[in-house]
Amino acid sequence: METVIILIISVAVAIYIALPFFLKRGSQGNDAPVILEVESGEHEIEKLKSLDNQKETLYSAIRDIDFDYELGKLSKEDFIELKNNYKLDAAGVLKEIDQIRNQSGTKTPDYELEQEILSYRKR
Amino acid sequence: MVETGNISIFLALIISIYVLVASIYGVKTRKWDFVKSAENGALAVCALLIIATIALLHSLINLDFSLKYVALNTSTDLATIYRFTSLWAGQAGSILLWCLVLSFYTAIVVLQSRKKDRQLMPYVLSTLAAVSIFFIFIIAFVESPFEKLSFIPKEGRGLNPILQNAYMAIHPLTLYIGYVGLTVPFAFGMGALLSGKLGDEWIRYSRKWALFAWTFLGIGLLLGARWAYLELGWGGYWAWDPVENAAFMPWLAATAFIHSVMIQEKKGMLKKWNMALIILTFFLAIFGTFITRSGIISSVHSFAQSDIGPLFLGFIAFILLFSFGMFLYRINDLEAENRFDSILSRESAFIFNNLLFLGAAFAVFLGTIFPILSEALTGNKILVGPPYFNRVNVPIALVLIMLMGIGPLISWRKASFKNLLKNFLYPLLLGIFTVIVLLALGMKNITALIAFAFCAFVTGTVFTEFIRGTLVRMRRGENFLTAFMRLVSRNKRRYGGYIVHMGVVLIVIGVTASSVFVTEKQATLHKGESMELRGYSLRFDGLKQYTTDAKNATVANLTLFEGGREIGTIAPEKNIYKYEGNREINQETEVALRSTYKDDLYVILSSFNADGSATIRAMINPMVNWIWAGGIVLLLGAIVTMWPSGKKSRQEAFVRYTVREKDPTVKAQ
Repeated sequence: METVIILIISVAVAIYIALPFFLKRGSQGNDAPVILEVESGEHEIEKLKSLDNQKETLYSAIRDIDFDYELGKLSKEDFIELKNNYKLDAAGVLKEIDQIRNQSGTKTPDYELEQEILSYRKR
Repeated sequence: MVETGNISIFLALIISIYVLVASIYGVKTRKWDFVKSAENGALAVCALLIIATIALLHSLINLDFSLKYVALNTSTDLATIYRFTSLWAGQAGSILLWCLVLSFYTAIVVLQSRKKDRQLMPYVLSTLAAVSIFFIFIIAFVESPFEKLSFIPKEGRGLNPILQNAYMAIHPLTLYIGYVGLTVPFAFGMGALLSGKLGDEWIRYSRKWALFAWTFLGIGLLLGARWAYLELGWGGYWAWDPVENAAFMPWLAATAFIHSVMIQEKKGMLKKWNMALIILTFFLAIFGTFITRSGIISSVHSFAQSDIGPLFLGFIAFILLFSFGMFLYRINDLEAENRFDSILSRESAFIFNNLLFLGAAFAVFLGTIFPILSEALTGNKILVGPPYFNRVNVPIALVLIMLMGIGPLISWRKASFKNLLKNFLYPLLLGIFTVIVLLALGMKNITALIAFAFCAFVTGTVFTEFIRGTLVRMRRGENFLTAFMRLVSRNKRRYGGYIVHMGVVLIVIGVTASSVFVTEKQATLHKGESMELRGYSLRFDGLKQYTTDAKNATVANLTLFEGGREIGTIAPEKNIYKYEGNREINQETEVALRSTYKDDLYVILSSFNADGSATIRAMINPMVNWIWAGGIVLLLGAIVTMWPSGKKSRQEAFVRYTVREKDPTVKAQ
């Protein structure tokens, strides 16, 4: 009886491991970044991922600077200087993202959200 | 079920080797089916190790003495719960547990990342598989939990009585979740080095996993201290024992890592440092496992005779050579992306904090291996005791507490001196006030004064941060409760970290008070006689004996008075366990405790005599319960920090939009 159980386990495990070779190929496990569907090459995907991470870091930095200023940890001069520097860096990163996106004609998931905010602010 | 368990281990080993090979082959050749197959393999390994563990548990609970492991670690008188926990009581079972926990972690990593970071994850998986292979190899070929005896004994050796305690039941499990958990951030680091994807992805994953492992390692250390306090009967909770140090060293290194990783996340700096640090942290985790499992603590000679010791040493050497080799290979790709904005910044404070934590870890490492090295080189074991460890680590700890207070007051990137002084004011006043009050109360110990002053300073800082942050939000129109809740929920890492710091403060207060101000007395009492100890009086009412299936117990009945008023009874015991065998303790001390927030009255029956007299040892440990309370606060803070964030808020979208839109204060490039 135990031999049968061992055999069943072994076969089940072997089938499970071999399954990907027999299932219909889907998306190839594409390294689709969280934010983009890009038909261009892998290099652009990696570049966009890197830029997106940089963007997140810079946004987080700007939030920290705003919050620290409100908490009184930064002088006004330091606040303006730091915020300007990080906004400039962020603007540069966004420009690069836009260039790549325009070349491939793709959208980010928060693209629609940002369009909605833009239209709201124009009202 | 024994055969099923045994075969499952061998299958797990074979499949782990396949996972290692297939994941690398798949990512190198872009044949993603191999990567998916490897991922399925990792999940299968987890299932197989679960089967093996269930098989062993079945044997333990049903007392199958035909298995050597069951015979060595259980007995017919052992309660069911301890038959369960004897899974990790011995060498083979604890290594099986290591494998099982690692397989769980690997499975979670696979399931969380099935469609993400396809260039990075196969290398992460291969690293996890490589570590798994080593440990599964040990239980397959060297120290099998399913090894059979040539005969079936009628009775097992049983579980050491001092391990039959609730804290010891869960302490190894929490420690292992911590130790093993450090494999995951290490795997992400190695994945980044092997793949060349040295951006932010690996550090984001690593930070979360490192924090999780760090939390469990810390809780495991505190549970072990609590067990030692309750069971070992010497009145303390930490003795700088090699087994304690084995877990403390990786905890110190991991603490440094979870701080310095924030700098890389925020500024893209310290990339080389963080990579080296995670390798070091993992090395210390494996080293800790090595010194507790290899027998090298008891003697270099027992290490050399053990099967497991040389294997571990070889594995450690391989990890260090391979990891640092890859690190040097990629070192030019680990350049910082940004600059330091100011020496007076939180980044600088974090770097200083890192150096101190690593200094402490190195000091503990040196003290731990010195006896081993001295025996290996000279034949004489030179012991290194608490005086060395305390002399080195107490000053480091005091500076770290001070930094815990300074760090939050400084901004990231840049702090102005004027603002710093303004923010320092109330916490500093609280620290000074604390010193004045304690001096007025007669405290003279300088170390304790400094420790309490710094703790008050940190407390002032943390409370100031919460109050200021809440007030900032209230200015936006929120009521106090909403403002407070949103302050924490939208800044979980920052404010969760502050709660963790408060937990550390409570622990430091408890350690300081109970170390510096402990009072002790020992007396031999005849029936009716009393001993006094700082406001308490203990009257000895005589000895009593009772017997259970497992033991013969002698109890000293004492009536307790405080300030002349009777407040209760207290009854320390001495137990002799009935069954013969290789039990290390045959006279176990059961401590009697009276615990309040103020202090513990800790009473031990040292010995008893034929004339009915008893030697009683009593201690007052001030504020020792603040240590355990601090552990709970630390855990709560860690949970807050690790709590997953919800969807991106509109606030963040507005921040993005502000940056996107042409801002008149920003000159466009």
